[in-house]
Amino acid sequence: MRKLLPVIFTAAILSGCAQPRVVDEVNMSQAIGYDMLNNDRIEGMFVIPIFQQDKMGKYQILSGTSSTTSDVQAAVSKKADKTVLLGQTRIVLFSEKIVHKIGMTELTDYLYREPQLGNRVLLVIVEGKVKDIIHTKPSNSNVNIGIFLSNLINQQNETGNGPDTNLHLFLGNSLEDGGDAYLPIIKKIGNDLAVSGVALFHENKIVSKVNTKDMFVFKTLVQSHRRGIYKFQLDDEKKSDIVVESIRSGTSYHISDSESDPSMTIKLKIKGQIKESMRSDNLTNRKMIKKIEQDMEADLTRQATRLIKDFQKRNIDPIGLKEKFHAKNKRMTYQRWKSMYPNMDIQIEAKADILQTGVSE
Amino acid sequence: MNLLINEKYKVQPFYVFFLVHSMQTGIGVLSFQRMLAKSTGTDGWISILLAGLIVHFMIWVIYKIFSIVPGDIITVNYHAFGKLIGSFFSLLFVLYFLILGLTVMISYIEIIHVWMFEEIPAWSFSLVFLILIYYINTGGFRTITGIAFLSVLVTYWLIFVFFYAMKYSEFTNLLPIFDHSILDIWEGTRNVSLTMIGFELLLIFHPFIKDAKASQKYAHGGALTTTLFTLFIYVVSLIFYSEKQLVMTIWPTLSMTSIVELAFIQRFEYIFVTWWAIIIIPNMTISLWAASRGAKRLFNIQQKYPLWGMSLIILMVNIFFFDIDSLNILKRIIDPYGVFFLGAYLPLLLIIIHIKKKRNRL
Repeated sequence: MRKLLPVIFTAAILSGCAQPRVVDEVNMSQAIGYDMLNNDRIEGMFVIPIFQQDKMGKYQILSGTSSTTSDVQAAVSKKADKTVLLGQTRIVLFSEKIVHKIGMTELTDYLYREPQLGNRVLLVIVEGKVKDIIHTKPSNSNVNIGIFLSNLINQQNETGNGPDTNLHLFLGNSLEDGGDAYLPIIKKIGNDLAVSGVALFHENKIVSKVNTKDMFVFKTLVQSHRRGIYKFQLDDEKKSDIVVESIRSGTSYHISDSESDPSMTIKLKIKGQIKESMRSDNLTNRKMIKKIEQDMEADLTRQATRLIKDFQKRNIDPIGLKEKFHAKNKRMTYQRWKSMYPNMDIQIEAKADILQTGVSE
Repeated sequence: MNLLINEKYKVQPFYVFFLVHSMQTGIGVLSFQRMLAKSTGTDGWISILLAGLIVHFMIWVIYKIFSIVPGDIITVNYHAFGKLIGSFFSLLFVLYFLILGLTVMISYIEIIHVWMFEEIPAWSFSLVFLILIYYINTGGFRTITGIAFLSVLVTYWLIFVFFYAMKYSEFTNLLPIFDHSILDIWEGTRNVSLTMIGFELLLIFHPFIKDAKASQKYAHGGALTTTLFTLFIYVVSLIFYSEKQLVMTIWPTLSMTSIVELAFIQRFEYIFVTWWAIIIIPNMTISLWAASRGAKRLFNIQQKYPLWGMSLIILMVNIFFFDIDSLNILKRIIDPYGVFFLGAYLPLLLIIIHIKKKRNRL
């Protein structure tokens, strides 16, 4: 016991050393937005929940300006009654303008360096002003705008057509040669906030976008997914719409790395179920299902080929074909890839498999 | 210079597994991927296996030495080089163990500073650790073994983090293989040495093992487990990070845990960093025990006096010299100098005492 006493004693003294961070004694930011002002300064906004009894979803937005992203936090803290801490941040919004002016590498440097922020933080590009988005009242008044936005993106990534994103995945792609990465775009349409596409990055800047219509195909190309909604037209006189919900998808790559004539075949596999058919014929007919599968394959191939042709024209590689190629061919350099990629022969083979048609015929 | 250890202070041979494994796993595991990826990239696994092989060879050398001259490294040095030169080399070992313990402690305090409490001064952490280390040391070697055993047992659940991280993995990152030259791979082997050292503590605690010959397979088992564990972590890091990102991240293992989000805790890395203390404590304890034990044998004094002195030195370093520079200097001393010293000295020692034995001078 005599030996143990000093241990207990120092432990008691030392527990007074650290700064306590009690939840309602700090400003705990749940979302951050960065806008570019006209005088080239950065405006940062922090969504901070207010904890009060019986008042769910109450929040305040603190904003401040500075010339760097991390300094905004200090600028905001000057105006607030409690310090602003980032430990609970779930989503960071950037306007298109700030990405264009500053560049993504510089903007994410602080986010990755700061141990308070997790790797799971979502990054989102905003079409228009971040200010307008953050000051929108969410339709569900029980949550604040920060949680609303992060739930929106997460929900889209898990069950919709949005490709998986977070700080870790984004940095993994954007730090490679060429910096080809992608992030979801949010836009204010009327009074609603909605995902309006995917922003494609190349060498630090946004160079192109994938619109909502193509997001399913894009998601299939960049990752294997479990959920997604795909709408297409049946190739008959009536051009009726068919909606298929994917259950599983997968991609495989077949590469021929000959010096003179490199080529690549991307095989897409989608297993799905029919969600809706704008057609009066019954669907249990095997011939009918076969027809739907074939038309879906043809449509997928067409859409994917169009997307990839567009990527090749712009010399961007959001799908990460370069890494696939490098895995096959060690001598592959970025310089060679850049000259080879725009003219490379990339074939798409889609394979659709309808597993079920729902509970009605 | 002979020594006899009372049977009641000795430990069962299979505890050597835990002693070696827990001593090898420590600070290095959190950060070795970065340097390894820089030099060897996708072929890092070859470097790890090579380093593991070297460790096995060294363990074999150590057991071979002790089969010729029973005792610890101080006895062996004495028999091989005589009193003066032998004591000099023994002193080098004492210094090495002291620096090892100091490096582990400062590296861990640095991690706590960066990840959690940047405002708490380093000396206060080291004071708590030193009191704890002293307390464990007063229990003798059996207590230390118990701590090493427990630390391995209660930390293995952390492995789930790596399976969690696989959700965000890109398996093509493992390719292409055989993309690096022999020199690169050798460079990589050097870079993993910080995670592989720790087995050399056998040099001091060997006489504390009951039926020491039987313990060799457990020592090899411990080293093999470390090698496979290191290999596993490296492969997971490769598929989790892209290569450029891995090279940029200082503690890849820690950053990886920040992807974990559980229903009841959003930021798991704080649990991970604090839980890592349980892995670090036996590291510091065993190194300081070995250093003070060596000093005790050299100068024929009670073990607590050198332990006090060393604790004071460590505390002083933490008060006056704690910063990134001093940590870099310490790491430099361990790797390359300490590692090269071990790698060259032990086989040489084996050869010398082997020759002496042949000439019947032992």
